Amino acid sequence: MRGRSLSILVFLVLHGCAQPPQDAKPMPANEQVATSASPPRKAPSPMQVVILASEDIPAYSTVANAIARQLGKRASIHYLTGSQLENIKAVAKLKNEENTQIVSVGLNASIAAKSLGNKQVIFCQVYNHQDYGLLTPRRKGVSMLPSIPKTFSAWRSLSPSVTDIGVISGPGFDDVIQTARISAKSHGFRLHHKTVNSDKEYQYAYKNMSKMVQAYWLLPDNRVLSEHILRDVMTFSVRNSKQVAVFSDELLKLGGLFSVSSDYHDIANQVIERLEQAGVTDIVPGPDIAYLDKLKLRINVVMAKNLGVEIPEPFRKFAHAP
Amino acid sequence: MLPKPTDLLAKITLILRKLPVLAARLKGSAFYNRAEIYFSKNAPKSIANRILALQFAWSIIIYLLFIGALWFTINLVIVNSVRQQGEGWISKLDELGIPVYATNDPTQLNDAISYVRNFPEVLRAQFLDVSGKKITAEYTRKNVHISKFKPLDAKAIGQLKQTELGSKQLLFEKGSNSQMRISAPIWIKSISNDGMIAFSLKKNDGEKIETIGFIDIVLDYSHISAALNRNLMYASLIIALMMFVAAYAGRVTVRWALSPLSELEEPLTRLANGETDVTVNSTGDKEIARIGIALNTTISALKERDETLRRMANHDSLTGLVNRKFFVEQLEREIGRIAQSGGSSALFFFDLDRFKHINDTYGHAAGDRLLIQISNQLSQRKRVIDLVSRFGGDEFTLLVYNVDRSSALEVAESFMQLMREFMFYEAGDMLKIHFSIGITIIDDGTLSSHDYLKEADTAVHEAKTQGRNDFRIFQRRALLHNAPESGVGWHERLQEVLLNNEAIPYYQPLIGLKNQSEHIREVLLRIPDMEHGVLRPGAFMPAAERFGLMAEFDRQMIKKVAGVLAVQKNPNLVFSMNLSEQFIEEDNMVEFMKGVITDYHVSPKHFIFELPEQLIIRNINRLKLIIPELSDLDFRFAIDDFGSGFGSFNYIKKFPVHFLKINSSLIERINNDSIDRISVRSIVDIAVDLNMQTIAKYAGDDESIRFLQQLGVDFVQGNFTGKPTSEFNA
Repeated sequence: MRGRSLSILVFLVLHGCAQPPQDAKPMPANEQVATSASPPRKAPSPMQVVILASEDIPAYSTVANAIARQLGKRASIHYLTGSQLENIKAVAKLKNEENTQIVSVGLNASIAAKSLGNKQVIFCQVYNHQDYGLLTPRRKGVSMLPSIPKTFSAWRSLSPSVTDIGVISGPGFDDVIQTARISAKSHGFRLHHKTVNSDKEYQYAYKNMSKMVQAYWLLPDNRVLSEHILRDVMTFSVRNSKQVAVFSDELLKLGGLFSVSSDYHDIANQVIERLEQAGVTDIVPGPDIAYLDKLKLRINVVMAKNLGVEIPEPFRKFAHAP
Repeated sequence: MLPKPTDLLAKITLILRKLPVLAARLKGSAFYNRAEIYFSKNAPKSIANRILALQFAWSIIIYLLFIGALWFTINLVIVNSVRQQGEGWISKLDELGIPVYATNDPTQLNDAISYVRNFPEVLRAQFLDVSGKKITAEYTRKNVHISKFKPLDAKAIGQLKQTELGSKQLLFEKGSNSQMRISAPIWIKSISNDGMIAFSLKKNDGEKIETIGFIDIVLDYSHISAALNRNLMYASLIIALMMFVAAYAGRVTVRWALSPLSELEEPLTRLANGETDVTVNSTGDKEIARIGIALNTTISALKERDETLRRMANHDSLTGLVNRKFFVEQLEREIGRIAQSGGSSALFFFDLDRFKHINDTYGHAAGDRLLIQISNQLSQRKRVIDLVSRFGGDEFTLLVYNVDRSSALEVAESFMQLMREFMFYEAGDMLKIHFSIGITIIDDGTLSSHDYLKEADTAVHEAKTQGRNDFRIFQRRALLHNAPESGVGWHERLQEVLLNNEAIPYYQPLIGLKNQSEHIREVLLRIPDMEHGVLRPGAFMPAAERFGLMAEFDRQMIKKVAGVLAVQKNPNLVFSMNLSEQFIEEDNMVEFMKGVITDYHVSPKHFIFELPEQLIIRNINRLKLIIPELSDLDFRFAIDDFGSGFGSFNYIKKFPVHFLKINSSLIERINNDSIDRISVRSIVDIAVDLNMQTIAKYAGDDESIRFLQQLGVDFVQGNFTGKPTSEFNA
């Protein structure tokens, strides 16, 4: 499974991806495809890095391992898989350790790391961090979302005629939406956003939005999404011939046109970069959340065909029949 | 719509109350009478009706059960269907009600209202807040009556808020008038905090569920119930009709199947009435056919038994001829016919001559063979239409239809000719058999069968007394003067003689040829007769024997003789007398003799009892017992008709015999027949050797007496030497 995933893994690398794109022109294919090899990095700071992972599951361990691999002997990984008391003791022990930076992977680890107020903490693999008060000057994060500009860039390449895209989220997504609006606009899209409080509202808003938009961008907000609603809105989209950009390959089966997801190397790079930026200072410089530069793209050929989407040659390698 | 049970009960009660009035009105009508007979306790019940009643009862039970089950099932289906439909509406309202919750604006219910309006079953739809108390939005159908349902209480809310099962808990409450309330929670769900990490649609656990309100709808399914109940009523009527048709078909089938049983009624009734010429149908179904076959077998057996009984009742077992009873019946029928239609027939009475002699000489088996041969002769000679019977003993009767006197005489002559030609072969002997015939003409319907039989018997008696081997036709005018009554009346006549002690002893002297001192008299039985003065034994003895009266005659004669002896007191007087077979056979015969001697004070030596050779043959064992005993008492015995059989000499060795009475056939021609003389001499020689005396019967003249005297015979007897007389002459 892993080998199969790797074989189709593609990194889209765009120049200046850390900044909003300057134009909406599709990127050349030879520039869009990146190899799996990581770019060369500067020598790491001498501070020790403790990687706290919520649990030992692939979603966390791959990221943790990727970080640890790059940091070498400086890094150590702690999984909070013990009892609650053991976890508290482990975190309390870190509190007293000098010259240490913390990377928390996953929500539970990030919440646990909140007690390490004197430490620089970079959290990742956390959705809705705003709901848990994770952001402080010393505690910053790396986004879960793949590169938003590249997402719209790819979308434009697939669907030149799409102009209006709807996106629904729970509260607290203002930064992301703002970023997305800019990126969308740069690629010729109008982004229609609606904030909802529940899956029911999500469903209602989704269908209400239908007349205004030609496509939907599904944000992975667990608070307002339920499996039932996901199935319902995906079914609705298929029936109404709406393009849907989904956050998981799983949703391609329900009628998503393409999926965009983050890459753990990209996450690891962003985390390490933030650690390096922090250095020995008291705070972690830079934005609260560092966005990812890359994305994994997978295109549903069946839906593309149904929706009359002509997959450009450079993207055909990402085509997939769910 | 079906009537309510209470209404139905009221109607049934009303009908039941009216039944007596209806019955009173019907009383007296043909229908009522027929029904009364049919339902009466004593009326025989029909199997077919029982089966049909059972079938009908079961049909009714099954019908009611079926209809009840159908009604129950349909109502259950309706309720379940409405519930399922309600769940669908709830789900749809849950979706359509989202604007209400999304906007918190009750006016956003339009979509939901538009939706539920299409369903007349939905009377009301309420969206409640999470407390269940406050109505967020509501739709109520106009102009409908909604049953009162109590608000959701804490318990109901707690139940509806249960999320552990992952599916919504719905509350159903039935109201009146076929209304139902369904309450359901409104849920919002969200994927768990870490659910987006490694998102998978297959992982459906871990979703957070929150109840944000409730939907409460009231449904009215009365019109569905009404429609379905109406259809149920139609269906039940159709089923009832089909069952009625099936019951009628069943009735026809059962009656058809049992028709062979019904058909048995007529032949069985005839059989019960005594008819045996009945045949039962034994075809058809196996069970019925078996009954038919069994009945036919029974009827055949009955027929055979009846025939056997009829033959036994109406026929003589020896000859196969009809018996006296049947003959008398036919005679009476003929008399009746003649009384009505006139004409004449003839009654013949045959009496075999000397049959007793055949019986005595050759035994009863020979007598039976003779009777059979005579029967065959009579049957072969008579016309087919005529009826011959064995009337009793050696008597036969013949009813010759439609003949007058002259024809009857011709018939009689033909029968006489028949017997003249007939020979009876027995034990190497060729015997000539004759019979006497008495004839009477049946031409008077006022006479009874008894009268005619008496006439014929009188005629045959006359023929017998006038020489036998002849026939006589009865002269009705002479009836009043005919003294000897016919055989039919002999019993009464002889009984009367015995009762009145009218038996008359006649005395015939035995003449001694050797100057013997004893004076022997043979005592001969006579009975008084108005015409002839007295009757000889030949006239009445057969009847006396037939009626078992001979023993009594013997007893009376012995007593009379004893009386004479007691009076005469003559020491040389000796009486010789015959003893009948019936008397010898009596167990107390010896005791009787002792009693007579004692009572009359006479000596037994005054008595000589004569025993015919044939009687000895038939009673040899009995005589071996009684003769020695009586001899010891000094009674003496003589063998009568000695020399007529082949075993005569043999008997004199068996028991003490004092006299040999030589057979008359040896005496009659003794003057001319040297063989007879030799025979007599031999008998006399033997008697002398054995110290016995000899008596010769029927010595007809002096020459014969002289011969007998020369031969050494001791006594002679006959009319020539002394006729029997009633007066005792010592």
